[in-house]
Amino acid sequence: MRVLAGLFLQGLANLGRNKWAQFFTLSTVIFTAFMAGLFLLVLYNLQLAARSTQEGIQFQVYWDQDKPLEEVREQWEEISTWDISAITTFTPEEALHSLADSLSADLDMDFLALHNPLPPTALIEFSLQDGHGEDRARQVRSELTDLPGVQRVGFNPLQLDLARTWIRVSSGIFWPLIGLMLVITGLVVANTLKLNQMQRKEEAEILALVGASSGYIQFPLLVSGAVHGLAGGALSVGLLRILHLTVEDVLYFPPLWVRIEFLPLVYILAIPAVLTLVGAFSSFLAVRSRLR
Amino acid sequence: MIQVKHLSHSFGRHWVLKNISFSLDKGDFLFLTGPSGAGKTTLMRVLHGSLALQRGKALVAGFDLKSLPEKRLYQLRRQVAIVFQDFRILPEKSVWDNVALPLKVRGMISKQVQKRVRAVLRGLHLDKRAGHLCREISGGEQQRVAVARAVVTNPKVLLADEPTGNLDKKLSMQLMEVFRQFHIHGTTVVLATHSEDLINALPGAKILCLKDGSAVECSWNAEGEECAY
Ligand SMILES: Nc1ncnc2c1ncn2[C@@H]1O[C@H](COP(=O)(O)OP(=O)(O)O)[C@@H](O)[C@H]1O
Ligand SMILES: [Mg+2]
Repeated sequence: MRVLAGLFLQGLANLGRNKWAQFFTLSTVIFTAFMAGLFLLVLYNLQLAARSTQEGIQFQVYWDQDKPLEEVREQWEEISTWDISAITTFTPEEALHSLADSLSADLDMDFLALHNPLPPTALIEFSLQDGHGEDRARQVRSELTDLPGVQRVGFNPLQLDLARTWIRVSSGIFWPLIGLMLVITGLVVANTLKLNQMQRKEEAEILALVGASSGYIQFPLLVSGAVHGLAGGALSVGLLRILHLTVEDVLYFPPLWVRIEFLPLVYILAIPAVLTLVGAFSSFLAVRSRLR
Repeated sequence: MIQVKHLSHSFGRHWVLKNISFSLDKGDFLFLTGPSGAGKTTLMRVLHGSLALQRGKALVAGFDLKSLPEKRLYQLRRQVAIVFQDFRILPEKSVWDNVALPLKVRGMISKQVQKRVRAVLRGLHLDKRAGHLCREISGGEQQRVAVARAVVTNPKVLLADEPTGNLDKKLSMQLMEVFRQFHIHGTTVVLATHSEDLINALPGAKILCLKDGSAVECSWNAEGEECAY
């Protein structure tokens, strides 16, 4: 136990050598883990989106900006008589306030009120009933598109088919991408450990010559590798969270109302955990200590 | 303790050891002598497991070198200590740390490590140098550090490859006394040397002469120099 603790500390101390190589390794691990995390984040949100469209669809309807508001209001009246669950409407002014709130930015409201870039919009909720679900949705959509003055109709959260295609494609590359990330991490960490070990070849050889077991020689490396994986994984999750905090509300304004969710806890824990294992394992790649 | 039969070793196509046989019991002392390039170092390295056994048989401290897997090599090395001709100590570590290394890798508690290292350093007149880095001390002192590191574990077999090469006659004799003490207390010693003084200092010891890799009769000329083998 005591020996193990000593070797553990030695593994930590090794991190102090080759500062640049260690820095480079850590950056690479962070970067690959970050990219993988980002991919997971997108995929996760797409899946959430797809799930929510199974219960109901939201249409975002954008009118031409120069269409008189009176006429738009008339159309809103008419739509509310359709076979829909709910309609929420936003005049350009309301949309602007809502947007300003969600961005919580110091916008020059007086200036923007005069030159409001936002069109009148409406959020129409439509519940998918058994049987005529998606056909009916398509029909409603074309009816909305055909209304005079309507510029664009969006599905929420995304175009249904598009979302599905995306999920299919990204699920297809999910495991290859995660695998690639693990391989890159493993190789980079192994390479750094190898460098570290090459400089200490003499020391390792002498340890072997005076009777150290290969476990004794390798355990500190295992610790260094694991620390690389753990630190890289944890930092990348941290960075991902920072990125998420800055973008989670960018789609949260009328009529989209999409809030980007962060990864669930299992993923958050899995990323550093898996990288720790990969880092530890890579130490075996790095050195099969030459005893002879 | 050591049994060698028909041992041969080659580097590429060059046979460095040819059909060597000898046998040593517990507490035996063997001088290994012969001109440079005769194969003394190579034989030592085979016995220590640093070179794989190629031909013949070798039993060392109960380990059969033919069948000993690499991952159990460390068990052999915990019984068989070696003093290298080129020392192989860590220059950036202190004398103390170098000597303590074999004890540490065995997981010995530090109190005992201290006791042993202190005793060995005193025996080799290195106690004043304990805190110095090995690159800061003289060649003769480095040589004694290498010896100290080998004997600190109280090995069953001690292999010493020209351990007095860097020492004057007085220090050589002092060191020889250290080896003799271990020999008396039951350590099997194999000592490679050119020095006839050393050999004469221990009349009861066995002698193995190598020439071009073969074991030959030893003889000395009138001036006391090795001449014919
Ligand atoms: N690693 C090696 N590769 C090739 N030849 C070697 C190697 N080590 C030693 N030799 C050769 O083996 C012969 C014996 O060397 P060595 O055992 O060091 O002799 P000694 O210790 O008696 O001076 C020499 O001819 C030397 O050149
Ligand atoms: Mg030699």
